[in-house]
Amino acid sequence: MATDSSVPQIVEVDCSTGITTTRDMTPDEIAAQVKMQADQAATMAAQQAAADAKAAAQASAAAKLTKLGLTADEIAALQS
Amino acid sequence: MSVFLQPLQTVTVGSGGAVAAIFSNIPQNYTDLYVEYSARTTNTDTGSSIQVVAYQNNVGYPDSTASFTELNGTGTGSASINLTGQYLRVGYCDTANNTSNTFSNGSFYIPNYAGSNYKSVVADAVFEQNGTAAVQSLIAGLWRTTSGINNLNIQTGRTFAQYSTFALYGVLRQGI
Repeated sequence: MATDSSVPQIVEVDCSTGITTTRDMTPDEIAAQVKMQADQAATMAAQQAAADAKAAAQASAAAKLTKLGLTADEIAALQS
Repeated sequence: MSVFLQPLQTVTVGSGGAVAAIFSNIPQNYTDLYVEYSARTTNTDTGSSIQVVAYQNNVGYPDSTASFTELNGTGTGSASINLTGQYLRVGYCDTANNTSNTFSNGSFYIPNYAGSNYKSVVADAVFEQNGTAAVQSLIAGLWRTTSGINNLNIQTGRTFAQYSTFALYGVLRQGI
């Protein structure tokens, strides 16, 4: 099948015939991909923000525990 | 007990790359389906890794039937994620930010794919780049569809690099 090199491609194999086809994405498929990329970026940003917040809380807790006299090994044991 | 693993079809991405690998008209006469993949993408905008997702029966994004829970281990830590109504994640793969020519690999298993119950999916994947960063993922997924699975669409939202490979197998249980 003729394809347009400027359009993202999809590789599809028909399991009933064994024929593999490379075709252009349809406009609907492209729109879905764009939305998925946007949502994916938002999801990853939220996950990163949660991880950063957890790391910051752990660092803050470790600093406070150090002031209470706990050793680094004791703090690590609490946070593991 | 599964006693027979039949290779059905394999898709290997060519030099132009591909945004999706699709298995269509999957025969309905096996007990379970099994997919193995080795993949890398060409993008650089998502850091070192990007998720690999699967859609069933031409349901594109967002897939309201899909949900999953995953557990990731990095060697130094772990994290769990769950998501409903967008897609079913089956693993992660390398991006173009990573060590050249490194491909991640994974597999997912779909028991009773041709039946009328909802379709559970179990995935096991490794993101690896011959460097310090590596992630192993175990994923429990579900497609809330009563239709048999006759079409699988595997994608990342970006472009699979050349030589990314996807292999579909049919599994027969003992006695068939």
